[in-house]
Amino acid sequence: MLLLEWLERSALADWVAGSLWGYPITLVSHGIGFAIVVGIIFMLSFRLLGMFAGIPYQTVLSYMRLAWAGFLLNFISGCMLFSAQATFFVTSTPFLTKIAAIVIGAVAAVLMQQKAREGARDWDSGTAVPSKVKNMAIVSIVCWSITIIAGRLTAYL
Amino acid sequence: MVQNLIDWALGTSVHTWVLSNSWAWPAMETLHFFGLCFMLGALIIIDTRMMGYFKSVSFDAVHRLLPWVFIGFGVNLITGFVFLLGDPSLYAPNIGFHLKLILIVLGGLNAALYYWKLHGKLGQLETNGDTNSLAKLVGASSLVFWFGVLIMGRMIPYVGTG
Repeated sequence: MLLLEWLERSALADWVAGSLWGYPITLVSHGIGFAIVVGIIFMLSFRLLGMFAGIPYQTVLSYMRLAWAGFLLNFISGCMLFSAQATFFVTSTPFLTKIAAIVIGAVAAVLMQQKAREGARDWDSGTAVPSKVKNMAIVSIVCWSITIIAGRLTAYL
Repeated sequence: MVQNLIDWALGTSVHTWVLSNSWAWPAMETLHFFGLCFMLGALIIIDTRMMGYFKSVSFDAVHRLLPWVFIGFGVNLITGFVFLLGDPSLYAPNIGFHLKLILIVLGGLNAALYYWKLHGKLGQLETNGDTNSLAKLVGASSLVFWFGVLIMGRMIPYVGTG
């Protein structure tokens, strides 16, 4: 708790919470990164589950680099938002749920991406996507959905 | 005009529904977030290809994501109306909301331009094929407008009534 209180008193937290534009700019960045990372990971996950057939697996895979750029933006802006209210966030159940879902969702996305790198060419030429990979896609969709829901609830509960 | 809109909204059943269910607002917000990440996720893929990135991808393939853009837009149009009717005096006079509406109109006109001028040509574009400068402009404008919509939406609580 001492560490968190120090964080809340830091110059960074002061800028985010105390300056006129600090909070809106950080929140807007968090919204932009969210659309990029979750949007693209959703597209890859649904594709792996067989939706929008006709789009090559290799196509969606190409966009994962962009998804991780969005993830980085959200990691940074998320840490900044956290610093402003650190002692509140660590006791907030929706927030902790959100972080857990992000960790699991990110691991699922990394694994999906790895499997797709190895297999996308074969899947595009007709080989079935292994059920293990489809399960990862389901885990990813569920976790990123929980992230959205819990993230919204953070503001209410 | 703004006052008439507010008065009308306050009398709607949607307004009563939002006020009488505490879960309604967060639930609609959550749906609005799902809608936006579907819409923007698909648009990022379509528009960056139009801008000439990810050339290894055929335009025909990315174009199949378009229904997701419309589904996301539809969800957000409906949930957006619920917000407007639910708290009309926050939104109707808000400068961020006005700018958001302008950007939505510009995004729509940009999409119409795509259909009139580019849709047919791009459909024949092969893998590795480059796009023309109009396609690059329309793709970039689309991302600017729709991310602008997201940004203005986020700014609504922080900007005033102008």
